[in-house]
Amino acid sequence: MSAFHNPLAPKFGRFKAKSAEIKGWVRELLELHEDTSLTVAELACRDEGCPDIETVIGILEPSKPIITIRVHSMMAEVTKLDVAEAAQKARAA
Amino acid sequence: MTALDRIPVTVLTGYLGAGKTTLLNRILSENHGKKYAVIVNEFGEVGIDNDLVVDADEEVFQMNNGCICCTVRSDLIRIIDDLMKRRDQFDAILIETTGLADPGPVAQTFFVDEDVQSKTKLDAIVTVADAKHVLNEIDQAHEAQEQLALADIILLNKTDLVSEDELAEVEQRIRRINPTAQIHASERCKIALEEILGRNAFDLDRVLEIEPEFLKHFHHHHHDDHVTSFSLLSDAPLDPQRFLQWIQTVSQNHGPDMLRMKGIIAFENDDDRFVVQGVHMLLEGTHQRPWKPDEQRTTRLVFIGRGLPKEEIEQGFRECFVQEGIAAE
Repeated sequence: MSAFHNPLAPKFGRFKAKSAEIKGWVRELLELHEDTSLTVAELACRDEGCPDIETVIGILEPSKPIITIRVHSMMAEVTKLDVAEAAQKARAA
Repeated sequence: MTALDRIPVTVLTGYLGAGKTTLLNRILSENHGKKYAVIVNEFGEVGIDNDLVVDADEEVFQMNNGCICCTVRSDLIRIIDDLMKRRDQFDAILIETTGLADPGPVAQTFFVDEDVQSKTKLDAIVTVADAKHVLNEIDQAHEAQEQLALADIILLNKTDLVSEDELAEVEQRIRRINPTAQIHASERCKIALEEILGRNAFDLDRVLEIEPEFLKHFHHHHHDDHVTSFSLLSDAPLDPQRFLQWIQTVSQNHGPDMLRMKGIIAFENDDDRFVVQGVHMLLEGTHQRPWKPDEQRTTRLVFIGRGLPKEEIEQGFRECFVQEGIAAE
């Protein structure tokens, strides 16, 4: 096997702990019920107007509009302060 | 939860009246000893004999300003979140989509969302097609083409209603859209369930493992299909750095139109096969297994998409070679 950096390596499990940590922060900061579903994803999108990489958090409550929180950094680097600031922006929007 | 513990998910798609619900009821009623959680749309309209049926509302979540590649089904995320609290009640999940649904966001949900990916694994997209009407549907409806394009397995149903020649024509037309899917003919969805369940079709280990038509030349009829496919072959070894950069650029530039991509890559000075697959912008790739001593080290890539620029992609592929030597079908 030749040695080279593989940017396509499957991501399964890589972000599991970080995703759980971010969800915990969101629940605490926004005082969400334990039953509220959250989604966390690291996206790399080349569409015009999109940052190269960002972490997108969706708050999915039945029969309510989805609230989207965006942090413009890799998931591994997201801090609780980032989430708090982004959540504040999302609330204000 | 380890990779082995992840719950397999089978997505059943197909145009209106193709026989999805018949297949679903067959899966649920056969004595296979497995319990399924079933996610359906409009489940009040059809009789589904199962304890664990959940109604989906097809809510899409565009995570990135309308970008199709970053669109997931938020209702599925919620439902799976809820189902996992009853994890002991089922062995696998079946999702039946509506006849007009775009299965793309359904598939992407299993790759984009971290939690869904850690708890479940997309086993296969199974598309049921009505052998009598599918050609007309392909001509009339983009949805019908895209459901065939995204499929790992195509169940060509109601074959008793067509002649052998008609069936051959249907298969050939479907092959033009999707050359890598396994096609099974059936009447009233009678098929051995091991042909459609537990297929691990999205495992990189199985990319192009079954490649029924891959190396054959297709007869190109003049259909102006919304979705088409093409494959690239080469015996010339590829430069890994150039290839990995190029395939990411292809997915970034053409991701919205790239429904599926699969490939086996022969890199220079590399004794292992490298396999790649993609759904829109979501790409995965890894080394798979050593090339066998008597195995031809041929790179094979299949693109399935909407109006993909074949010449541009072929030229980029050529530039990944350590030396020239391309054949395109």
